[in-house]
Amino acid sequence: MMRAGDEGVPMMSQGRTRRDILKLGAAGAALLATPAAPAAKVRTRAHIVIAGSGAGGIAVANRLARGLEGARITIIDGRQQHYYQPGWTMVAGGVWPMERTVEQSNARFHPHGIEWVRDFVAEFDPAANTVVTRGGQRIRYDFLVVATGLQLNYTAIAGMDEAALGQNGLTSVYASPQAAANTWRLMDTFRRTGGRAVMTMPDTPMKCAGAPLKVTFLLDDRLREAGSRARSQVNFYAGGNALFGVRVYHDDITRRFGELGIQTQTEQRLTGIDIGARRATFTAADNSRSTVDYDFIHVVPPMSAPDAVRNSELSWKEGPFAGGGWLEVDRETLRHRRFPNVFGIGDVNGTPRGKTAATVKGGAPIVAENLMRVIQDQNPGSKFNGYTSCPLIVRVGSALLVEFDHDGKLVPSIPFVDPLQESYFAWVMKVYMLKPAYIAVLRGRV
Amino acid sequence: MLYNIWLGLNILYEIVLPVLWLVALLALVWGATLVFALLRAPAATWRKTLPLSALVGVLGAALVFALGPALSSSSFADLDYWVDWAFLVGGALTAGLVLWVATWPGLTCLRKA
Repeated sequence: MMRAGDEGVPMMSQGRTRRDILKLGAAGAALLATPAAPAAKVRTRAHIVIAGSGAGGIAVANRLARGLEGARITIIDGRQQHYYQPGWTMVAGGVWPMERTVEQSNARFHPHGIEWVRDFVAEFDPAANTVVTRGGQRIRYDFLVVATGLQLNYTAIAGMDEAALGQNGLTSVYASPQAAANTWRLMDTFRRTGGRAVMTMPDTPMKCAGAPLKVTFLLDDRLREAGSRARSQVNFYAGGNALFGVRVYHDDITRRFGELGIQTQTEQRLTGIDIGARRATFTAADNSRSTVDYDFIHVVPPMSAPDAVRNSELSWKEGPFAGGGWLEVDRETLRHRRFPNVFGIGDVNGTPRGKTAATVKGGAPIVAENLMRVIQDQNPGSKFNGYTSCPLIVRVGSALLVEFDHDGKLVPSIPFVDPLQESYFAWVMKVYMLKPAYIAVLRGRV
Repeated sequence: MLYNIWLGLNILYEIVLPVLWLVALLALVWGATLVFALLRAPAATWRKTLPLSALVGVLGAALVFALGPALSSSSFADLDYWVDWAFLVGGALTAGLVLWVATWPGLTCLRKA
């Protein structure tokens, strides 16, 4: 039998028992009303591996580092830089310079005292509580947090070459900060003459599902600004049957696109592209194909869980998330449904809707708290409502504050702001306040 | 609500953090000026400089109101919601108040000299 203090089994700091801690918790309930209230640390020798150091991995790492004493925390990620991805649409729209979305050292946000393995996870073996890196290093863990993000499957589009982004009118805001900057460069060139713009969206779950819409709104606005909108045609092709997963926003965006003269087609997946000839091929739900010539195209690739997750036992094996190999977590506790020492955070999770930084903001405290409870042999008690936010830019200078939960129910964090009302206030939030908020999320403070 | 206040404080902290040294320096200068003015200037001088410092605050508020949208890549045409106007007016009033409080001790010191 394992005892408190054994590997993976918690002890309470300062000789306190769990009951003492619960008593403390009850007595200090009023104090805990403030989010910054200090809590007693959980002592443990558990080895916690966090696969991925994007927003989710770092936010959880900071919370665990603050809440645990004696734990060994290992972050595995080969990327040195940290990207503020929510800023990429603003880079693509010519609002921000690319540099504003790139932090040179990811370690800047890491908590002190953690181990950083500069490599990528190539294989998950949850039955053996082990991950294997691309470099061949086998790392055992007591608890695992999967925070790998997702995979952009550009190769699923025949003829697509990611290296060709930024040439021949070919853009994609998702690929990298450079790709976002190139999107603006080509958009700026395109708006001088006008022409035919083709905007795409896949039928898979994707991160920041608002990004293809934002780029479209920004393109329309930039064309109007340059006086070339009348000479241009903007066509939006959605792979699924809606422009947005939340009905009320689908209707609102459809209306806005209609008013702007943006032609919308649904159930049209981008399946092929001839980059040199500037010709896109779309496949409809009935598998019929059509080709469209363009001067400017914004490609949003199909997305899935990274192959390492997809090909492992950690992925959903049936149901709507199995196709993309998404992580099989309980949507409320964010704990893996079959491997109880595994949690998931961020884009990799096979949960409805949420794949944004705001989802991480809501999910990171849940993962950290539930993981600490599991370390203490308790059941996960914190439940995530799936909070997701996507400040939807409708033109330069105005945005919508889009916030909803797992079920698509609107959950505005500022009750007096109408979620369907475009506003300068939402724009200022998006441009000036959300990056500071994002950093506070990384630090594990909010 | 408490969470939103906490979030707002964190946002403010992260905005200020890169220029914390400058804010600290300005606060130090302002504090020294305040102490100097409190010790040296009689109440009558404070009263005399009140209108001028208030005028600086009003002008600052007017400037922030007039230029706020343009300086944030927007325009008055984008302000078509009462929340926008409340936000802009609130921001301008806050800026004006800060300017008034920031300049009053300094103007009092100058008047004394």
